[in-house]
Amino acid sequence: MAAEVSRELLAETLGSALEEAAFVFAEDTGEPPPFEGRVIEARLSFVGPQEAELVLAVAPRFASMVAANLLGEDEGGAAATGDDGDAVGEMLNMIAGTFVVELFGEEPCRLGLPRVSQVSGEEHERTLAAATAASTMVDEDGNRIDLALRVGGRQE
Amino acid sequence: MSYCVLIADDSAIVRSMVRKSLTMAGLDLGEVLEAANGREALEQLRRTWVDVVFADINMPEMTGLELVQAMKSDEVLAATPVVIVSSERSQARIDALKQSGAAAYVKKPFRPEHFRGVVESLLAIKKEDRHGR
Repeated sequence: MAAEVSRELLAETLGSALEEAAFVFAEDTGEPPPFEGRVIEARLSFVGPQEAELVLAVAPRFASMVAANLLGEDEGGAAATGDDGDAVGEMLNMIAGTFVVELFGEEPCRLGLPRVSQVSGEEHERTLAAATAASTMVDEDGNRIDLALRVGGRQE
Repeated sequence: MSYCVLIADDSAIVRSMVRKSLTMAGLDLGEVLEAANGREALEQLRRTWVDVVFADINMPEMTGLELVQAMKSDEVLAATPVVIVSSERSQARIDALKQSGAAAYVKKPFRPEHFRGVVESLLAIKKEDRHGR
């Protein structure tokens, strides 16, 4: 493998994808604020030299901002409305494209399709607890963004 | 002359992003068609003349690669250029896509200027081909 799975690799990949695609500047934190209310989770499995699943989790309000930024519109703008979950899935798709090359180099790797759902904060904490590695970042407005990796494939 | 384009991606937000980038790139767009997967794209292509197709790789039902292969084996569609728009970063995979017949590759995240150069060069080649025949 080109790199080892680590919290740092996840943080680096997440930080640069947020910055490049959604113009969000975030920093890794060891003391994340709790999610209040529902959490939007996007999951994407991939199969290369290893099988694993990436999980990106954000609050619904942050998802709206990402949707607006991806489209270059004001938050809640006409084209952004209703695309919030789709935007989180697409962010994860971009993160995964970079992450698998960092992890496996030019080894063949097949990416799955992002699957998006809303879960409770407790359910999301269980996902994090089961992860092989996880990074939590906080943006300038205090929004929490989690990226976790579970080696061993898809978790239903 | 305005161009008719088809955007194939299972993500509605990506279809909107591509459409917006093409507009911001200053390209003279005519009809902009959309499809949520390769199969839908193929159906639209068999109904409507399209100058350029923009397609994701990972789509349900029919992938971007399968779409390219289906178009290459269709006498009418074989010359229509397909630009793959994807978050795929592996150079080996990108080279394989081009060998399969994809005309160009745009990496996500993209900017309008990425599309302008690609579309103009593809359509210039297409025009030369037509005049050369």
